Amino acid sequence: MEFLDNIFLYGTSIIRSIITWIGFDPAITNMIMAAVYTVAILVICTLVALFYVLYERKLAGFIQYRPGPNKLGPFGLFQTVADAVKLLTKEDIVPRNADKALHFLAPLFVFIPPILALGAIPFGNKLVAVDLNIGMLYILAVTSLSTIPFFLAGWSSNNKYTMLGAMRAVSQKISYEIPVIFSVLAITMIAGSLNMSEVVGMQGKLWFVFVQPLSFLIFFIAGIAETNRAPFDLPEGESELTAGYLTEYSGMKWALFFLAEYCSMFVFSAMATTLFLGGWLGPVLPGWMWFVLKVHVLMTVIIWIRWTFPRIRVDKLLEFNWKILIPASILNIFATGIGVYLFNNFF
Amino acid sequence: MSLSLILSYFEMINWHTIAFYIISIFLISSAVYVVLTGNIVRSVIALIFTFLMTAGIYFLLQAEFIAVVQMLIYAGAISVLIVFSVMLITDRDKNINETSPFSHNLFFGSIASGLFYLAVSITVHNTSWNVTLKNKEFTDISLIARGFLTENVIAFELAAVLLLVALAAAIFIIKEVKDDN
Repeated sequence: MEFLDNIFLYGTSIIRSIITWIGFDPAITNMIMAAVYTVAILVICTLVALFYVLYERKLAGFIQYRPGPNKLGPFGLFQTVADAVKLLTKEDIVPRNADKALHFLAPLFVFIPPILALGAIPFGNKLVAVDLNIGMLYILAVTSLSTIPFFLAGWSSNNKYTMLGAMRAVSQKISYEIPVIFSVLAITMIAGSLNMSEVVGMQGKLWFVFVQPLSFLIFFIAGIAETNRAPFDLPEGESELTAGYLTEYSGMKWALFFLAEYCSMFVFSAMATTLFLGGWLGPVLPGWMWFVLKVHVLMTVIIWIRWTFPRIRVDKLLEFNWKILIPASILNIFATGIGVYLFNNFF
Repeated sequence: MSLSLILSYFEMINWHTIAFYIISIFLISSAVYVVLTGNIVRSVIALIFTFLMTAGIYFLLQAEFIAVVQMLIYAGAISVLIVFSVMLITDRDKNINETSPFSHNLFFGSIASGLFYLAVSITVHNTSWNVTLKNKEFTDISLIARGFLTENVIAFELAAVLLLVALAAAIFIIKEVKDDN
């Protein structure tokens, strides 16, 4: 079990010793190792996107009492591969009056925040690319950049629907960032640390979800809005805006947006797991397996919510944030402050 | 050339300096692009890139906290404010270098920026910097927090009050507009 728990760490140390054996000096070895970590994160991102595209379609089928994709391969497992081939061979259409450079760059930029964020998330004990002292703040900072690609996509397409979608995306993401940060702040107050691994280490006896249930709820709701998932997927809102900021995208560029959505869902679930659900901690199974299991449960809940709830109206969406989520999270911070003070002084 | 010779050549390079120059080149060229481009959205994007490269410089100096705050506040929040105002511009194809009232004063503008550069460089050269190898003050954020709530508590609270005033004023202005309608 010890071996299984550290299998990835053994892998990286083998690669490191091979590089040192060739004769590179420490600075270059570190750079090559950074490249190895980056490739590993890219692979995780791709696998997650590929798996959850199919998983969502299967689960949606189950919820709607239909089989879902079941023709290609056993249980329709090759459906995603076939879709990828189809999307790759599709014609890439760019509107005549679009800003062509930005129209091309937006689907590439959309992948940067989730990949950067995954670098600071501990997948297991010591299984983290960069164990920053301020990891939590770093992830919040990086994910706050995710607004920009959606604005770029909407603006560069030069279309009123995409522009409206972009406006919605920007206003929604900037508003829902506040409750996310506030709910993380409550965890920071209890943990007294911004290091992701330390936060997980403190949850050995009690997961923070039981100490901060309201905070978890706020984080989860705001996270769904941050990742543009139903019932908060108004920037796409196909019933009113054709497809929102995605309207003018086709083929592989559209697919990149689609895949990035699953990546950012994964990042958000991984954050929730680390902060509230005890990260890699758990009995019997190796740590990274527990982590994957917990993330998978959260992803399932997000998908379940999407196929259960109808989309809410845009003014209700912002009202819900500013009048319910933010006041609740501020009250939660006050309560946490009092609780931490009482705990430190009287127990 | 044998492998060991190439490797010894690599060892002579100071990677830190190379990273600094790469980031600086991107930083300066994107900052110049912000000013020179006529397209306002491209200008905003280049500005965000400039903010991120500045954060890169801070990371290189191992001032992680300042780097992350730079990303969170400048690249994440300030840029979104600019994006908001850009989205309200109706004529998207106008060249901002022609429509902006400030872009015609090339002469005075260059004098002003030259003077600013002079002032900054004189200050930088005449300051005796505390060079420490262990910059614990930058990485240990509990020290920063303690500084905010003990020594500099008045400045900290004043900034908070200022932000509150700005927030109240913004809400008040919006409310006025609504009443007129």
